[in-house]
Amino acid sequence: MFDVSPNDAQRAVAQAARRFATEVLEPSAARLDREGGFPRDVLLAAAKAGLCGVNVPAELGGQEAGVVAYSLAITETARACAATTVALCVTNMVSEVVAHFGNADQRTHWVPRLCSGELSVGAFALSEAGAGSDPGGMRTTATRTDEGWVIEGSKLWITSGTDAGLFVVWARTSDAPGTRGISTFLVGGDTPGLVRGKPEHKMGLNGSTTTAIDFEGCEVGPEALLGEEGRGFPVAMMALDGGRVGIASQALGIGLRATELAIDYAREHEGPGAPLRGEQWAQWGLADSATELDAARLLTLRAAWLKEQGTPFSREASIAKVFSTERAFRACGRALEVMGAAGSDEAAGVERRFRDVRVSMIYEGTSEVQRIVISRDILRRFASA
Amino acid sequence: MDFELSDEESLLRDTVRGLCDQQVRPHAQAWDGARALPPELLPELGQMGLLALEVPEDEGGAGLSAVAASALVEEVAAADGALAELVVAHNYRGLARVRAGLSEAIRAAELPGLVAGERFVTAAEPAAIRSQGAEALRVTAASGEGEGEGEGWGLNGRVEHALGAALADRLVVLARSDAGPTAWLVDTAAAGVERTPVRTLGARAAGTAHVVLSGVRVTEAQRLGRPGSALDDAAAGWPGIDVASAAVACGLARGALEVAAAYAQEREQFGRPIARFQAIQWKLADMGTELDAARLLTRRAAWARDAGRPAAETAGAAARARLFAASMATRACSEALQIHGGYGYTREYPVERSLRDARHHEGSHGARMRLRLAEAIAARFAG
Repeated sequence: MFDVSPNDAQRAVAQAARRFATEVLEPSAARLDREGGFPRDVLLAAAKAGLCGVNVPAELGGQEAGVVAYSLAITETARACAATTVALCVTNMVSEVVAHFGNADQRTHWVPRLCSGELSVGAFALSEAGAGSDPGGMRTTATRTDEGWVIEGSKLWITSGTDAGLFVVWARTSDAPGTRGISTFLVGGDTPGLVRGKPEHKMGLNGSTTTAIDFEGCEVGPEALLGEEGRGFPVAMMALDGGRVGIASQALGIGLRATELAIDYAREHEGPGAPLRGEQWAQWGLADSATELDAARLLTLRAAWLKEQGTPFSREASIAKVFSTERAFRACGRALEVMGAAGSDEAAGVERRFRDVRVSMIYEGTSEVQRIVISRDILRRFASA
Repeated sequence: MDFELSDEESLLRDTVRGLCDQQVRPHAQAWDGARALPPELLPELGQMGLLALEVPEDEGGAGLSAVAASALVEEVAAADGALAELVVAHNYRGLARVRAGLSEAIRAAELPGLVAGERFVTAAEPAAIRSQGAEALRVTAASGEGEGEGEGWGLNGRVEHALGAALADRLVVLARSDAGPTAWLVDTAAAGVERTPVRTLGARAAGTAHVVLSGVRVTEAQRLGRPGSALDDAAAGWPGIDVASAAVACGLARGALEVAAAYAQEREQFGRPIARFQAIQWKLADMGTELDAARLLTRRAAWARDAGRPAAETAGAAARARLFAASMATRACSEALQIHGGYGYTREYPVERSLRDARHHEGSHGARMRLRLAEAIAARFAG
């Protein structure tokens, strides 16, 4: 049975994450947003705190705390700093992908160094300029040589692209159309021919770098192939299912914190007509946010729990992601409404949440892609009934 | 009800659209990043009459109807939300109050520069005066304060988050005084005026600032209206502010819709333009429908001002327009960003700015306008 209350071990992970968020992330989050850059030291500290391999086997350097604990931890860190948290989400996803699909050599070579922070963080290189929601439009190729493979092409929207020490890269290894003929490779960040682009200027998440990565005659050995040749697309889709639980958890944390800040403000300030806390328009908004974020939390924990049980959870991950991200965005908007001009002021920290949360409806599969996943599953079930 | 523009007004709108397409839209994102406008821009808009929209032509203004003025505000907002906020602040928060209340003593010295747009004026007053009245005021006026003469006042206190205050030459300041809430026209270069820029979610180039007044000397000549009349005078301007604010929202949504509709036809995924997918078509259809509704509400309220409809009807129409348009713009801009996918989240594209500007513009207006409408309904159906 799906039990919504975390057990002691899960609660301990969440509490440790909250302590880290309060002591390390929160004090520098506003400055990181203003100045941008990559919080390398903070992420190393996160690795030391076990946050780079929450659901990774202990023998590979992870916490082996499970998916629910991972979800709880991400929500806690996201309350303080969404930008650092997305780097954590991706590096956890990369660790899990290598731990799950890698052979013994790949697992022991890469995963412990991801969990310890030695590689800084991992990155996930799937999207391209012409292949966003449609990975079948991918053009990057990997050609077999006597020594291994040569990768040619260009990837886009790579989280932590400036600093990542390991890239999971998808490339075409045959002429098969669409999503067939795609394979997965593990490419170290210092591999010649891997060229890091400049960080994009974004609406938010300024403390997370997003870059293009060009592969210019990038040579890798035969050991770089992850899983079977030509079976890369299912690897990406499975990784993204888990990634969506992470992003749902992240958005939840952002929405919760924005709502809390608005509640604090409403306790202390006058609104149009009366103290805000006594105004139904403010009460109703905060009540709706609390209700929707509660539902988001339950959907997210259900998806996490299903993944932890080893049962299919693709639909539930998409449901959690689309609901949590869209409602968290709405909650951030409501927080701004309650606070008025003070909410739009950077000093209050709410407008940052509004800017940061908006991308969660786009990355790791847009809301539209989630609705495709959900509706396909519903229609398939309906047809077989 | 006729919302059509005259030939002359249409021509002016086309001229403004041309100016915005060539000189504003291409730079708006850079100005947003720099959190500043080029200093010559506002005077240039002034020469076109945009900083004296409803001032009669024989007084140097554009002499526009409220309907035509709202159409021009929409044009500016479709190109740059921050600039549109400043146009509205100058015309409806600043200039309208100065024209209505400025004494004859300094009228000739002050008004022409403001009408021509050579000097920028807005009000430094808390948004909460609409509901809390004088209680919301954090500035006090003490008579006889300062050096010598007894007929002056000293202003002390602060106003937070005043849009346009950082680049204003003059500020309409509301203060508590013995006679009740009273307004003065303050020169921002005067001793004791301190302005601290505020970093904001949107309208970043619009010079939002906290204003602190420390013993700022004002004279009777600088007083706007009668002693104690400031709240009534301010209230007379609310329908104008609400209509113009709604027009800004319409412009923000229109700008985002135009960009998103074009992008959806260029961007291909799954072997065809994304505009061929219902998921995108539905968004565009809803955006266009809601924009149409908002614009009609806005024009109807502007028409009520032009036609001199009863005050309650005009105020209600203006509040409805602003209520609907404000949240409509945030929705439309968010969908425009979504249509752009990851590209929309970058500052290479204008939709992220549109969304920030729209959400900033929305503020708490939903609640404020609903409160006004609730009061109006209560008054209408009283006992």
